[in-house]
Amino acid sequence: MFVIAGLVLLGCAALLAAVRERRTRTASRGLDWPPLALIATGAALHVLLAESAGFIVAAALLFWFIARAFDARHPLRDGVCAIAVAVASYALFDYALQLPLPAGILGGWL
Amino acid sequence: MGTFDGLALGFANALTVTNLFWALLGTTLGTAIGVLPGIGPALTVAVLLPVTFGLDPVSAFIMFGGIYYGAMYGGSTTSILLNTPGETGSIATAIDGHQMALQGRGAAALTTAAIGSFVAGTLATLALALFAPALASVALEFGPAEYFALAMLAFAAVTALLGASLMRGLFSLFLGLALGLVGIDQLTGQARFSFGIPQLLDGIDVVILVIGLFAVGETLYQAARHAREQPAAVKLRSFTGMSRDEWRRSWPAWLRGTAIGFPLGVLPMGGSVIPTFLSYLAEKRVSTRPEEFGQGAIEGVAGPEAANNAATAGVLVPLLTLGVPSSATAAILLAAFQQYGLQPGPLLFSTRPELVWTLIASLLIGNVMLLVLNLPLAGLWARVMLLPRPLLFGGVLVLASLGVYSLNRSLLDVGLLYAVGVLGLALRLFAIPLVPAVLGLVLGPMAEQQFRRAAAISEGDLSVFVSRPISAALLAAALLVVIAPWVVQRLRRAQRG
Repeated sequence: MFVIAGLVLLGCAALLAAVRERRTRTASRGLDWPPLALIATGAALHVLLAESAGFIVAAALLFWFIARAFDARHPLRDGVCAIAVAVASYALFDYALQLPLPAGILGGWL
Repeated sequence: MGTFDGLALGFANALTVTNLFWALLGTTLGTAIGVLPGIGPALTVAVLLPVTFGLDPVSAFIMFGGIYYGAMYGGSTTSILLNTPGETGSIATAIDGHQMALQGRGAAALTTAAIGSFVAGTLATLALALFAPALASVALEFGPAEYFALAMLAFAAVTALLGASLMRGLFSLFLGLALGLVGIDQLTGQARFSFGIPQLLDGIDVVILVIGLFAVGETLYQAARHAREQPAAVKLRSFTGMSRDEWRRSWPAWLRGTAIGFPLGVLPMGGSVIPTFLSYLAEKRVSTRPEEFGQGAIEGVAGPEAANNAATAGVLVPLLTLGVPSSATAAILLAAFQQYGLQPGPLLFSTRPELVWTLIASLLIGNVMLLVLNLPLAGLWARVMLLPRPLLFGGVLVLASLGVYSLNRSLLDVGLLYAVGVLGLALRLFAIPLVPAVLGLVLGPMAEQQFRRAAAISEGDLSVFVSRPISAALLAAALLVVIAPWVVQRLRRAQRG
C-alpha cells in the first residue's frame, strides 16, 4: 500500500511540476487537428468494423484514412495501396503465421 | 563455458541456412527502419513480438539482434542525407554528416559511418563475448537486495540523464511504474488498479503499451505536427568512398568512439544518445582542427557512429547477464524473453548456452552482412528513405493493429492500443521522454518483487539494502546520478556569481 500511495503522490507532483514548467516556456505551436481527426475516424471504424466486416475491409479503411491524414493528393493511389497492404497482411497472419483473423463479409471467398 | 568454447558453439549453430536467413532478414529490416525517420528499433521489435510468438526463440532473437544493430547503421544514412536523424543515436551524426553531404562529400560520410559501425560493432560484440560470462558469474552472488539496487540505479540514470528535465523524467518513470502495477499482485493475489474490469486483472500487456506509445503515438505526433511536409534529401552523386586523408582521420575516431560507447552502453544510461554526444565532444577536443566541427569534419561522423554501435553491444551485457535493460529496445527485448518463458540473468548462460552464444555469434555475422548491405547499397537505402509517409505510417498502424488483435483476439486490446497512442502523443507534446516509462513498466514489477523478497528474508529490516556492500554501492551510485548534475550546476553558478 505504501508503494501505491507513494506512486500516486509522486506522480501527481511530477505532473504538476511538468505542467507548471511548461507554462513558463513559450506557447507551443498549435496542433494540426484535421489529420488527427482523420486518424481517429480511421481507428474508430477499424475497431467497429473489424469483426462484422472482417479484417481486410477494416484494415484497408484504417490505412486509407491514415494516408489521407498525411497526404491529400493521391486518394486513388492510397486506396490501391490500402487494399494491397490489407490483403497482404491478412495473408501473412492467417496463412503464414497461423494467427486467424475474422474474415467477415469476404468470408466466402477466403 | 568459456568465451572461446561458447563462440565455437555459437558459430556452429549460427552458420545454418535458417539462422543465416533470420540474421539477413533482421539486418535488412533493421537498416530499413533505421533509415526511415520516425520508426525505430524499439517500435519494430514490439510490432514483431506478436508475429514471432510461434517462432523458435533462437531464430527470433537472431532477428531482433539484427534489427537492433541494423537500425544503428541505417540511422546514419538519414542523418547525413536528410538532416533528420532516423534514430536518437544518430543525432550527433547529423551535425557534421549533413554538412559533408551539402559539400558533395556525402559518400565519404556514409563510408566512414558504415565502416566505423562495422569496426565498433565487431570489437564491442567481442568485448560482450569476453565480459558477459565473467559478469554473469559475479552476478550469481547477487541476492534480492542487489537486484533491487540495480533496478534503482537503472531508473535513476535513465530518469536523470535523458530528456529535458528531471521532473519530466520522473513523471514518465512513475507513469510506467503505475501502469506496471495494474493487475493481480504476484505475492498476495490482491487485485490492484484493475477498477473491477476483469480483463485488467492479468495486467496490461507490455506489447500493447509499447506499440501504443511508440507506433501510434509517433504517427499521431507526425500527423499533428508536420503531416504535409515531404523532406528534401541531398542527392548522392557518385560513390567515391574516402580519400587517403579521410581514412587517416577516421580510424582513430572509430577506436575512440568504440572505447567511449561500449562502457557507457554497459552502464545503465538509456542507450546510445549520451555516448554519441560524448564521443562528438571528445573528437572536437582532441582534433587539431576544432574549427572544422559543425562545418563537415569527418571525425564528427566517424566517432559518434562508432560509439552508437559499440553502445548497442554494451547494452546487451546487463540485459543478458543481469536481466536489467537500459534502453527502450532492451526493455522490449526483455519482454520478448519473458514471452518465451525465459528469464535473462546469470543463469541464462548455464541453462540456455546455445541461445546466448548463437545470438552473440549471429551479431558478429550480422555485422559483416550490414557492412555489405550498407556500403555498396547506400544509394538504394537513400531511396527507401523517401518512401511516401502516408504509405509508411498507414502500413505501420495496420501491422500494429493486427499484431495487437492477434495477441488475445480481443478488440478491447485494439481500442486500448489507440488510447495509449493518444497518451503517447500527449507525452511527446510535453517533451516527456518515453524511455523511463517503458523501463518502469518492464523493470518495475521485478524491482518490487525483489524489494519484498529482500525485506522478507531480513524479516522487515530495511537496513539490508545498505549493509550489503554491493547493494549499498549501487544505491549510492543511483543517488549520485540524480544529485551530481544539480551540484555541478550549483557550483558553476557559484563560480560565475
